[in-house]
Amino acid sequence: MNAQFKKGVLELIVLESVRKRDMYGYELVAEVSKVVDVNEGTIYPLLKRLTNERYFETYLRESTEGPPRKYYHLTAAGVLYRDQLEAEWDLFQQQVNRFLKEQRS
Amino acid sequence: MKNKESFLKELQDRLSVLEEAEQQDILAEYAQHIDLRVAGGLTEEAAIRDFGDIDQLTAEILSAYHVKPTYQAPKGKRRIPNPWPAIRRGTAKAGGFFRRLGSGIAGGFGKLWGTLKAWKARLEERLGLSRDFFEAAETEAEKDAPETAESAAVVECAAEEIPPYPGEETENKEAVEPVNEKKETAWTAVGGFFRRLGHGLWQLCRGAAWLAWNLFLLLCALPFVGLGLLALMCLGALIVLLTQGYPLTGVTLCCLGGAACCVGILGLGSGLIWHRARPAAQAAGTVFEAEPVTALVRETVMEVERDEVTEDDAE
Repeated sequence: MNAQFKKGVLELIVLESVRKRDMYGYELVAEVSKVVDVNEGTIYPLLKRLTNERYFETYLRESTEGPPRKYYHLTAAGVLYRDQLEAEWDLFQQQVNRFLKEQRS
Repeated sequence: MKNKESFLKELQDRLSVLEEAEQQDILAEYAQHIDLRVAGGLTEEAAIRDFGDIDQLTAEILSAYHVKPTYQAPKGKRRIPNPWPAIRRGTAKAGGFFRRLGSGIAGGFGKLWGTLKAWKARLEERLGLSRDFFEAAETEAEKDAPETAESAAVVECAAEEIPPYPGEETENKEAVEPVNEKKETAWTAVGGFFRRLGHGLWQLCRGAAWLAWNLFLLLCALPFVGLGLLALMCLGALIVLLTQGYPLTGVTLCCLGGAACCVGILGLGSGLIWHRARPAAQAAGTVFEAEPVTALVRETVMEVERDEVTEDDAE
């Protein structure tokens, strides 16, 4: 898939994944990879940015194996941002689809 | 080709602009991710490869902090976030040290000055005493001289018996001279001339030595003046660089130390010059004090010449 497409929609997918339940990095990478083929080198910096912008908050939780894991939790601001992104995505893909349909007919 | 340690080390180097806690947070997360991938059956190398190009990864992480992605910390050097607290601490310490050192040196010089003064006072006292004595002897001799030659001889003997004070040797002889004048007139004239010549030569040598010493000191001082000025110039440049965040605290302090050393050495050197200048002043003083004596000698010589003339006339 086009890297530019991925980049634009990745934020929405990450936010949506964490909205359902809190996740740690590795889990999240696995979850997002189900939707788009993306590498860790993109997801982790994105998580960092969303955390710095207060859309995520993080906490450590002990795990049965290995060191404690850093979990990401969507904040209220994150939820609002996710909704705004979804609305933008809907509008955007509708417009693109409509345009493609018009061109075809 | 790359294992977890080297990957994390390189990442840390590239993220050195971030706070230490933030670096550790990121590194721990990435390390854990690699561990989990390895536990899932992947090699370390493959897990690291999935992070993609490290340049791009670093750029993306830094952009999350709104740091210019092209920013790269100086290689091999950690940026010092704020050098001022360290400098303030350093200067405060150095200031205290120099204050203590300065007061110590001042106290030492004060003591030295005190001892020198005491010496001088004692010397002057002794000189004054002996001079008074000789003056007394002289006046006595002058009083006795017209009466009999024998009494003059007695006084002469008495004067010669007195152990001459080392510093006053010439004065002593000159003081005795008026007594001898009538007996050994020509001899006195020649002796006076040679004595004056010797005295002049001695003064000349002393002046030359003084000049040579001071010139030598000046020659020694010149490199330190140069070094001090250089150190001050470097100090200025380094301070400017320090304010721009370069890690040059140590070098700056070294420069400061060098400049202070030069100033200290020059101060000590000036102390040496002062030491030399004092004997010169004393010499000037003795010359001034000796003048009446030489004048006396000159007068006696003139008298002797006059006597010779009158004797010739009589013949």
